[in-house]
Amino acid sequence: MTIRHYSIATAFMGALALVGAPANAADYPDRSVNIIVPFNPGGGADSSQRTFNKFAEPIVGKSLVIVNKPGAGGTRGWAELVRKKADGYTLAIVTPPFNVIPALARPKQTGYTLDQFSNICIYAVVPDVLLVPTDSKWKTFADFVKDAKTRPGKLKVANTGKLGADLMTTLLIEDAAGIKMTKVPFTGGSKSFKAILSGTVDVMVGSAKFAAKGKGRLRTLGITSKKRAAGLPDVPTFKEQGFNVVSERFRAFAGPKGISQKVIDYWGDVCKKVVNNSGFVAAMKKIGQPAQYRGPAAAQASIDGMAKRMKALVDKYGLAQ
Amino acid sequence: MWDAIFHAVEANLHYSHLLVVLIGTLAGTFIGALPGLSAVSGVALLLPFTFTMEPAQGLVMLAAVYMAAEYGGSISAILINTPGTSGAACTMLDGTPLTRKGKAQEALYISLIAGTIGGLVGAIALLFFTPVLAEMSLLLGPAEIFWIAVSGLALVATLSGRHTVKGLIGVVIGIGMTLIGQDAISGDMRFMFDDYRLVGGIPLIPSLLGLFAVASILQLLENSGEAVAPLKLHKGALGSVISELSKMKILLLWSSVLGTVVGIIPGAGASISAFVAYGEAKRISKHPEEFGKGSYEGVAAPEAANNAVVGGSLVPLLALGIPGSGSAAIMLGALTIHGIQPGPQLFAEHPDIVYTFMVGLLATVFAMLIIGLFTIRWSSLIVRTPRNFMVPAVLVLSMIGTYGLSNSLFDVYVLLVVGIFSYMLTKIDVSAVTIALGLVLGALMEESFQQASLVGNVDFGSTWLYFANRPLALVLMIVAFGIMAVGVSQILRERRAAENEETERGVLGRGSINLRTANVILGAVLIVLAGYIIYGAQAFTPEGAQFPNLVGGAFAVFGSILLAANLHPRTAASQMQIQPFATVPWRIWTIVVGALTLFAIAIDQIGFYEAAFIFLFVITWLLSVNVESPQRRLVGATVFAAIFVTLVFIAFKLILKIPTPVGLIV
Repeated sequence: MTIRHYSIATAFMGALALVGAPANAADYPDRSVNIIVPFNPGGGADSSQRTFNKFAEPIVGKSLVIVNKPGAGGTRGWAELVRKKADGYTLAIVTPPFNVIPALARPKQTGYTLDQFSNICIYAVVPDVLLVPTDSKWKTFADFVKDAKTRPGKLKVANTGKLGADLMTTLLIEDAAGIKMTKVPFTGGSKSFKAILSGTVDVMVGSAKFAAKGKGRLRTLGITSKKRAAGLPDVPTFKEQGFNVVSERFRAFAGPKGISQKVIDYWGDVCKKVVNNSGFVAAMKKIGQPAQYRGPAAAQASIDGMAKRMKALVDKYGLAQ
Repeated sequence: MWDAIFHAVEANLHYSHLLVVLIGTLAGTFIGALPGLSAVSGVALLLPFTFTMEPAQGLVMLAAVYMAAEYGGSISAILINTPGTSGAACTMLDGTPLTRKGKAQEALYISLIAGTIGGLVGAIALLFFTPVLAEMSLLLGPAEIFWIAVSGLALVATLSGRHTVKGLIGVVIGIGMTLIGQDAISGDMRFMFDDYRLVGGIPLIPSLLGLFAVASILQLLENSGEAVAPLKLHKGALGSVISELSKMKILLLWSSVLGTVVGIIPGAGASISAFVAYGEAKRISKHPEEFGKGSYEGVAAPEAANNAVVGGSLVPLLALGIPGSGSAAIMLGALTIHGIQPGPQLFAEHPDIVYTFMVGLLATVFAMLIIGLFTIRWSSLIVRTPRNFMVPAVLVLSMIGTYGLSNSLFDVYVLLVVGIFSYMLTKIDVSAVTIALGLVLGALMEESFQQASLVGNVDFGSTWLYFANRPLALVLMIVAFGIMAVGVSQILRERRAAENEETERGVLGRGSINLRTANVILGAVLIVLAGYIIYGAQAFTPEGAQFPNLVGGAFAVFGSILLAANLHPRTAASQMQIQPFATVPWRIWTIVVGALTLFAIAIDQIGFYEAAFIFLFVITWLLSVNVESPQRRLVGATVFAAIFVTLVFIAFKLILKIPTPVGLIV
């Protein structure tokens, strides 16, 4: 506290200025922790983080306050995170690859680089799916590929914008199958979902939660996980159908670079306890976000690996600017 | 189905349900009425409270907040010229003139009763016609949504304000603001000067607060009168309003139906529906000339529509899992957190929850009516609030709406800059309502146009052929061009009128900038901006450049029309008589804007509530020029600042738990 601040304080408030003394690191956290969710309330990331908080609060013993800062597919909120004091009282949900792609493709305007994050843990891993209407003639992914090959660029696929995860998965699928589609971008999974229900597009690539949501109207032709997902036992993986498409999106927890190892370990441990709670696993399953724990080191390695794969795609398709 | 409905009614009559409805409605009315907290933020703030409730109960509470906030938003629109929600912007067109005439109470009753009728129609449609309406919503693809947005904006431009050209300019300025930031579709980073804070675009809530709250407070500073507006209170207000409304049954019903139908269109929602209803009301009214000057019909129609939207926007949510509005999106989150998947399966899997919720929505409409009837007598007294209290109070609320929710100083600068520009532009007849609607709908317009053109190119080889091949899109396109034709004929008529315009407003003589000069400057600025936008768009991808080029073109066209009209000797003569800025009290104005800036900077240093206290004290003291005794002036300012800060603290920190930086004391 500088002399100027102190004089302002004394002039107007009296001598109450000494309250904000720095907290002793031993009793971290000694007050509530703000968690930036750079998306709108109610969305996939927001629901996951709220579910996480519900199970984490009893362990932490302090309140975890969600601060929604939507904008530019999360970029705005993350740019603010990396500028926050690294005192462990401001953390954020990061959802690779959504924070990874802009940093690679638009490094100048994104407002952060990937090494400005301290990744703490991953608490859910969500695969992608490819959906077509139930009344379409494609029963399997092989049918779809066969048809798509006869008319390149004529099938329309819905996904979420140039810097989104859905597009990357779409590119991987096109690559593996040797097909080419017209990509129609929508601002958010819900809008892609509406576009396929209304017949504006022929096919949708998006997060696996849409498989359950579209039951009855949409058929899931493939999932991008290595093994079949527990919640969708009837949906074949792309791998087992002979197409090498593996991709996933993470729900991870991060702070600004420079938070102490102590803070990282503390939250890594909280994460582990939360994910080990069967109540959390069940709650996450309900919202279509399969829980999975990866600690600080493993999370960092997973995200680094993803960044490398994304970089390859960004370079290959000339997405950088 | 009837069986399910009876069960649902029973469930809703349980006291715990009634309590939840009541709490939600109260919270919603209050949050909606506060400038800066919209229906979406209200629903978001109450979301955490629903996690521990039963699913149906939690949902009903959120629906109550949503419904009541749409009504609450009109309270501030009518009383202090600041729409609490963007859906209430239209209400200001006639609500504000009514308040100026001392008829605030009547306007509030109209808004309440029309809103109740709209709410009921929407809720009934949801209860009985969800499956049909949901299929209808699927008929609306990007082509249709694009033309709805175009018609909506054309309506706004032709309806709000005295000059259609200025209306169009307002709309394109609003759309122009949406060009800034990352384009979600092409990924292009547009007009952001490599500043990461602009990546998400110009933030909406600070802009709306600037456009309305800050601008109307700056306007209030001109007013030498003590209070915001006169207010005539009389016992018969409710009765006279009811007899007036009973003459417009058809209008109310039609507006409600329009609101419900427009509500099912994702993203268009409350704001468009209100204008569509307003335009219809003016078209079928026997007294269209009264619109914009304080017409009861002009308040009733948009109010019925914006409450009918609530039911409408929940239709695609329940039936398809597609939220029709921001608030509906949060309710989708609430449903999924409870493990309920909205969509085709919902009615089969959880009929109890769905019907309890839908019947609960009806209950919230009645709760809204009752709470409204009890509170209007008091809330209308707000317009009697003396200026020295009103100015700092509204500004503090605007600050918590911007800084409190985002914790970013950048948003505060947006608030200030937009506020000052909005005030200046209002002076020369560019209405804030038009800018706001351009801002709200610009992104939707661009998105749907890009999608339609991608799909159209694949399927038909051209975007226009795609429009032509979709009957509904074609109809909407014709409607849009029809509205634009009306606009053009209005422009021609206004030009003739302008030549003999009486200088009924503005000040003769004194002042340095007359209206003609101001118009010429605005026209020139628009043309320069047009050049800048089109030049800048060269660097973008073809998809990313399409819309900026279109907007740049619009800037150039409207700028040229304005320039041409004002350089024309006959039209210009009348404009030279008007001195739009002669009434600006520059000194006090600069002090207030300066104090607001200092307030913003002080937040990070000494805390929000501490800074707010000082700000309230200083401004109240400054404006209390009529208090003669210096002691009373000092005590009055201190007491008011203390009471108001305490109330804000209780509401925002303790109840709504909005995080603010750690301050010296709190």
